[in-house]
Amino acid sequence: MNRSWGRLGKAAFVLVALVVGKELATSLPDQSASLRPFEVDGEAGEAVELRTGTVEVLDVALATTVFTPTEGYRTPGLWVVVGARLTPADEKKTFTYTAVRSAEGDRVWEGRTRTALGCPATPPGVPVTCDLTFEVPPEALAGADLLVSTETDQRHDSLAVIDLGLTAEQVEEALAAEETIETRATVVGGGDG
Amino acid sequence: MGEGRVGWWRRNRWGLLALPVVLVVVGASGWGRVATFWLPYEMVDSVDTEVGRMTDFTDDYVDAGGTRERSLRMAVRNVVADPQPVDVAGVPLEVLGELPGGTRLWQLEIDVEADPEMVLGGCHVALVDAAGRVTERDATLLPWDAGWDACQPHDTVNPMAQLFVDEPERDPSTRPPAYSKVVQLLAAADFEPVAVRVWWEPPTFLTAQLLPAGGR
Repeated sequence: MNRSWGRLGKAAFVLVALVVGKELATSLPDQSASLRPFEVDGEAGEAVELRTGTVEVLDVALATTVFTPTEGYRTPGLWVVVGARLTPADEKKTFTYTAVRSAEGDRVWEGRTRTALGCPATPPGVPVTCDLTFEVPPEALAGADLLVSTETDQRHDSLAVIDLGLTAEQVEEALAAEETIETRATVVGGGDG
Repeated sequence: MGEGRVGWWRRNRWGLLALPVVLVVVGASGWGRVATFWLPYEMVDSVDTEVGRMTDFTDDYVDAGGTRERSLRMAVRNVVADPQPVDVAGVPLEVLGELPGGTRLWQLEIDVEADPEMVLGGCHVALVDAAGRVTERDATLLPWDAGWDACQPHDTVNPMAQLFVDEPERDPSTRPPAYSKVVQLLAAADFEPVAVRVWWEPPTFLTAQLLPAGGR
């Protein structure tokens, strides 16, 4: 009698171990989650601290046509032109990774897809101010965030997630107005406040 | 019951003895990954000296001809703030653009003694402050032509790393065996350097500590 209870106990233990193991394996974060960057939330006009520097969005504009110093670009969507300033902390850095992410967080449009970004790396404490351009479908823009990192590899690193403060009305107005924006020259140093 | 426990320890004594050894081996194999994949790419090997002292510097680099040794003697001296800007040849400039707001120009000189055929292109020069911030020379931030190469004369034929396995013969180097080079770089206005760093590629770098104020 005692022996059969012992066997039953062992079998139950194995079953429980299997169930617990399966639950752990499916509920614990997988590698895509465990390697993800540490997101630092912020809003336009506010300094956002990254490990490698400080980012601030100065202004945001929408247009259907954007002119860089060398070319003009039209889009059936909208250009988002973000004036942003980066002040490196410990070594020279620049806007290495920039993207616009939809409010739902499921779609991302990286910068530098059609327009080149001439934004030099500056030494610690010397800000660089650049116009970052993104070509985005209008329906994804309301509530979208700007993502900024100074690194090509953002795993385990800080990533600025800055609310661009865009509303559906602003997007509609920009589509109707069909305006043109000229990107501004990059400023190194504390030139434009 | 007590006898059973003693039996368990006795039965597993070899496994228990092996356990610490296994733990050490696991740790050592992890260290192998650090030594292979991390250390060679980090600045971990500092050759320490002070400003004004001629110092031996040796590191390795890899080109199409294999691993080569870079060996030279160098000294960093005359680190000063707010110098008159100089061009790529070291000639003072009278007319120039404005420095970016909130920045300050620094200048230092590098004395080099090296075999004229030693490849010295692509060196990095930086100032380091007490907080460990590194302000690296970047000629593109200067509004005048300061030249790309921080550590070699601009008007000599300088040896280059071998890019291809079968390379045609290059012109022989005309770089003198000993020379000095003026280096200027842009830093934040409040940047207070405590050392100068010179390097080609990680992990080896030269750190020349600045002497206390007045003795730069």
